[in-house]
Amino acid sequence: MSARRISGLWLIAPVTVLLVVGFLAPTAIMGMLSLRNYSGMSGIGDSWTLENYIGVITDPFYLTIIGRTLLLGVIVTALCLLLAFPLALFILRSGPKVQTASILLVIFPLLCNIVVRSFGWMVLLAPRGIINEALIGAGLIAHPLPLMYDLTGVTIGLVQIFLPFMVLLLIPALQNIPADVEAAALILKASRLRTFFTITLPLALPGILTGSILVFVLSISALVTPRMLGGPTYRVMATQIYEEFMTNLNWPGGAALAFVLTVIALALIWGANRIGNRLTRGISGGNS
Amino acid sequence: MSSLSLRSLVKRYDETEVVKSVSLEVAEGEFVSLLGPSGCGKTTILRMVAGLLAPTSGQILIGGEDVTRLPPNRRNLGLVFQSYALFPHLTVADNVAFGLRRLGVKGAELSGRVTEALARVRLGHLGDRYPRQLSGGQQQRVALARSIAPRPGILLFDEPLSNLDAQLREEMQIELKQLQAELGLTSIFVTHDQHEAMTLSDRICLMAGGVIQQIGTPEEVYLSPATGFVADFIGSPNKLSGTMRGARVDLGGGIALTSANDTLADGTPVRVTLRQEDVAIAPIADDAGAGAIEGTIRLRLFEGASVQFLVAVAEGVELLARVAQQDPRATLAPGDRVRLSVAPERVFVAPAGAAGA
Repeated sequence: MSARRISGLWLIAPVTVLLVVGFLAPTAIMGMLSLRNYSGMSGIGDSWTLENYIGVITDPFYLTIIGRTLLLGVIVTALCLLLAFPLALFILRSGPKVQTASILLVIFPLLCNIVVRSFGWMVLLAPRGIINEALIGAGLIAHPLPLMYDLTGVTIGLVQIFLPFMVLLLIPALQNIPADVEAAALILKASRLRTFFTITLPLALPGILTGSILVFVLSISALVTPRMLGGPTYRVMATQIYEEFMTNLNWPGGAALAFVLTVIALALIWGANRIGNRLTRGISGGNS
Repeated sequence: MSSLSLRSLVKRYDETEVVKSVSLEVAEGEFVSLLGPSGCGKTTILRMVAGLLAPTSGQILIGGEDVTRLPPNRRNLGLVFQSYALFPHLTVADNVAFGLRRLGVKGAELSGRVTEALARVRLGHLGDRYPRQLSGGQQQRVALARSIAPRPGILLFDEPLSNLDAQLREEMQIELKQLQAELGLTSIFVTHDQHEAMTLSDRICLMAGGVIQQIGTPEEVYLSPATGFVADFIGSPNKLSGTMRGARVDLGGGIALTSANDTLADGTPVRVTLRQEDVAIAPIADDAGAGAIEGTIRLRLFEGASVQFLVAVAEGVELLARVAQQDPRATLAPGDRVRLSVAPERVFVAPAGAAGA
């Protein structure tokens, strides 16, 4: 290794130290913790066991929570995608003034703290919240609609929070589609709809995948919004991990659940990348 | 094959008229170039014919049918883009098949026609590749195959060769001309390159400032330019200014040339265009004919096929003359005294400051 290279390595030394001390070490400690036995009476024991993991993947209580979390992730990701795609296209195809204004509007909610935004949704969605009161007042419904403490409320909150990420990732992806390609499809007698599905959509796929992975991973690991809008009864993995650590003081159990969540996220990213590479062979990388 | 008529076509953006009442008739199987400098409106016209832009007013007829309000996918056209515009996520064969599938061509006929189209552009062996694995010239040939495969009524070209390097461009010009002649395709070819337009076209439609300056065969446009702009744009011209004195043009410095153009009044200030290849150069001993001007060679530029001479004929008046490299006069050297002459019908004059400048 040349002297130049070694001096170059110094540049990445700070971030390496930070990652080892701040990420790898705690993860390793958590990993060991998740393999410790635990009992409500004596706390964390000092023998090794797989009990915590077996508990998580066999107990119907945890399985329901895992299933619910994944379902939530899929729904939030799909809704974000459906809402963000037309918005990204609109932003891309409007004039410079409208473009700047709409990008600012998209980013604007990010300036507001998640707790505040989630609380805002509570005010709107609660059984005696603004929406239900208004609908009852208008005589449209007799009893309050269940908008909170369930899938609906958490979904609404998370979609609103993660929509900007999806929009901001889709814009460059759509921008990368060569200008004349859609015109070429139209001239070759494809309808606008067919052009969208056979040309625009496949060419935007890399951005769609990146955006979807990001929103999915953020959704299944979100804590604040599910805690506030899901309440104590509608539990997802992140809130349950919090519960295990902070309320039950079952650190090994919480650690095991956290690792299961991490493994699910990593598996999904890996799988999505594989699919992505296969579907975008002509656009990026791949064999030549 | 279809014919094409443009009737008083206008395109206006806010206050600017990019295309000003353009009318053009293109017969079946004819190859017409829209030639002009950038911003002359030629690409705008092409995009209106393709249906990618809506005209402000006027009509577009393809095969006698008014298509002015029809979307691009209902006009039965092919368009070859400057950027190629291949579908990057589809293989070469799938790119070519795209238009055929829209026509409902299936199975053996589909693969047969894809193979045929690719064979026509000599890319039969590359059907499985993706566009990014091909060179620029190959990509443009795929784009061509993709456009001709569905047998469109009219084939449009938007500066298709300008992204290619010079040699490849000349090869492609020949290929394109052969293909067009074989298939008898009605073609509209947009270019800013006069050589390309002259080589390929049956007729050239020369444009400037959104207005047609002249429509004619390459010979007509070259030999009898209708406006001062055309004379300046075509060939490699010497551009001078002068004043009419009867049938002669006074270029100043005691230099005058006879022009065949006798429509301009005595004393009119004019722009004079002399093509380099029309300026006959001869050693001083020779008799270069009537209207000869004497001068001294300042520079000799060897260009390969030809040699260019910069000749000072009077104080502040210099002319460029060009002779073939095989010509005995090509050996003239800087400092030699020479006689220059231009045939009267090759002296193009136009009133100074006339429209179309």
